[in-house]
Amino acid sequence: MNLFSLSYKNLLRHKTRFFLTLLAIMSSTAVLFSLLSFHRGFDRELSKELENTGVHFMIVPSGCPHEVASLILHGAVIPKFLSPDLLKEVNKLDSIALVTPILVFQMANQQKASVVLIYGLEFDALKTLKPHWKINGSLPSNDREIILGYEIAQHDNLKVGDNYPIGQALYRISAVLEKTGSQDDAFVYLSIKNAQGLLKKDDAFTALAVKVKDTANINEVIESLTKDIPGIQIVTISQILNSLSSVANSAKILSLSVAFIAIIISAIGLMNSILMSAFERRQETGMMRAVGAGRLDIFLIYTIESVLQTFTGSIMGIVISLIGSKAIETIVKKMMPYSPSGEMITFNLDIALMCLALSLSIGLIVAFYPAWIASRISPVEAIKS
Amino acid sequence: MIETKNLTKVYKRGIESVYAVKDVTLSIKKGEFVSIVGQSGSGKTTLLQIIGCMDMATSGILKINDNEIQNSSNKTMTKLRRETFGFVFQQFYLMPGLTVYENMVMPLLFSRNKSDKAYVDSLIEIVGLKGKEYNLPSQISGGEMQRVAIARSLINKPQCILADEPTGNLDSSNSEKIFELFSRLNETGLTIIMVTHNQDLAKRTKRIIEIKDGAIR
Ligand SMILES: Nc1ncnc2c1ncn2[C@@H]1O[C@H](COP(=O)(O)OP(=O)(O)O)[C@@H](O)[C@H]1O
Ligand SMILES: [Mg+2]
Repeated sequence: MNLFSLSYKNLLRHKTRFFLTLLAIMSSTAVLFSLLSFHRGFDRELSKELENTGVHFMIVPSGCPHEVASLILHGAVIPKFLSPDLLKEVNKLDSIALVTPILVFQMANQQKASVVLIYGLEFDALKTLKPHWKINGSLPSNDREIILGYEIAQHDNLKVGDNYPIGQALYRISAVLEKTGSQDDAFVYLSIKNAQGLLKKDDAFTALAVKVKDTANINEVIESLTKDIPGIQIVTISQILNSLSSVANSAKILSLSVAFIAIIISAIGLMNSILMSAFERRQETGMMRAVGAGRLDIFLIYTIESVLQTFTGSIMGIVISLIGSKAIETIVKKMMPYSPSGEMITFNLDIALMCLALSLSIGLIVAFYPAWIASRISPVEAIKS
Repeated sequence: MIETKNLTKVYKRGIESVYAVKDVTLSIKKGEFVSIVGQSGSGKTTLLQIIGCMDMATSGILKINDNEIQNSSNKTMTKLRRETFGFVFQQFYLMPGLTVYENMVMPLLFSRNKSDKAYVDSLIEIVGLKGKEYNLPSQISGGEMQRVAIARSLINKPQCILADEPTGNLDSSNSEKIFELFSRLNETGLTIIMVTHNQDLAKRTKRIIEIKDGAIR
């Protein structure tokens, strides 16, 4: 027997209390660990996704805030359009490898009394615009065919081959997008010509996605474009990355604050439970002092009890959040303004160690006061009742 | 081995002063078996606690093995409790989560002494708990619990056992067993100081100290 096994046996004396304290520490550590892992994965997947797009920058109407501009890549509705001539002008430039128009808008669906989000694009450019996409079915081969986002297909229980009504016409679903976990899931994708027809605005588009021939002179291309063409704004992929991260940052901070509050609450619960057992075990502690325990011994017994609980609880929390990572990921993605696709919660040793270190320090800090109180109990307590 | 001179303990109760121990001067030699008797509230427990370095006297002198203890540090007092004395209480104070064996060896955690298997086995034999080592306190009788407590008080090989009404919670046959155990231990040279209400048992010890209102009569 040593002080550790003594402390452990003391904990087992109140199994319910022990279990509840563990549960609280486990839950709060699970939340913290999942969130930190998620945020790490978020940044990693976001930059991976944006690096993968063949697009180097987007041209959007000027006055369009960065956030909105960046969301165009993933679908956001803005009420401004670019001049129809712009596409031809940009196309003329030697330095440009590809330029493709995008038209995003929402329209009422009379039959369903709901709003449909329309994403018009040139399907030829799909591989460049959305390289990470996985679709079931085949790419639309004519103007009457469309791709449905995952959520729409789920919601209306639609499959490849079914018809989907937009405006007055029926469209054939040639493909359904696999779940991306991002805004992409909520759109209907159709050829830009069709989209323009639905909007009754020929040649209208909300953005141009541009790929340059030589990435070394992206900056020169952007500079000359902004100088020559009025009324436009150019947003590069790295700016998009930055603004997406900054949009995500406030959500990150909010979610982390929730995790820290959960940790503080469970720490207070732990402190309360140690304090309670310190008071309950006055006589027993007095007896230990009488049979030769020093103040430090008593202090250690209570401290070890605390640390054993935070340590066990946080290991359980980490394991639980790894086991439930899929479910947790889905929930957290819903809370974020934008999420890249891809698996985000993975095991990171440094995050796990950080969570353990945090729980150990909380165990030590929280134990200090109760352990100090217990260490002051006089041996006389044991005999006087 | 124990000497006191004008040992006094005063408790303040409001503006009133209670003399729990009053001018106690006594000397107990190594190997004695002493019983302390007196009415409830006469100060027996307080005296035993001061002798056993669990409490400080308000005034007077306490010498243990010729060392003056008054005004000693906490550390010295703890060391004396750990090495020189063994305590036995009326309420046994066994730890409910630990087995008989673990309760017995518990003080070794604090003395950092190595567990001497042969010695522990001999103690189990002496207190008559062979076969019950792995029982929990809830699974044994009151008499057996007190014998566990006695084994626990002996684990660090003390020079003196201080027992505060060790038979107070036991029936007469169990009381008899505990007393016989003390007698046998005393025959091996151990000093025993026992507070008791039981006149019959007290009469069988070599020396009786009677306390009244904190003072020796
Ligand atoms: N902590 C204390 N505070 C105040 N008075 C006390 C305290 N401990 C004991 N006393 C008083 O001291 C006297 C002696 O008590 P005690 O030594 O327990 O007697 P006994 O063990 O002989 O019954 C009693 O009057 C008791 O009320
Ligand atoms: Mg008493």
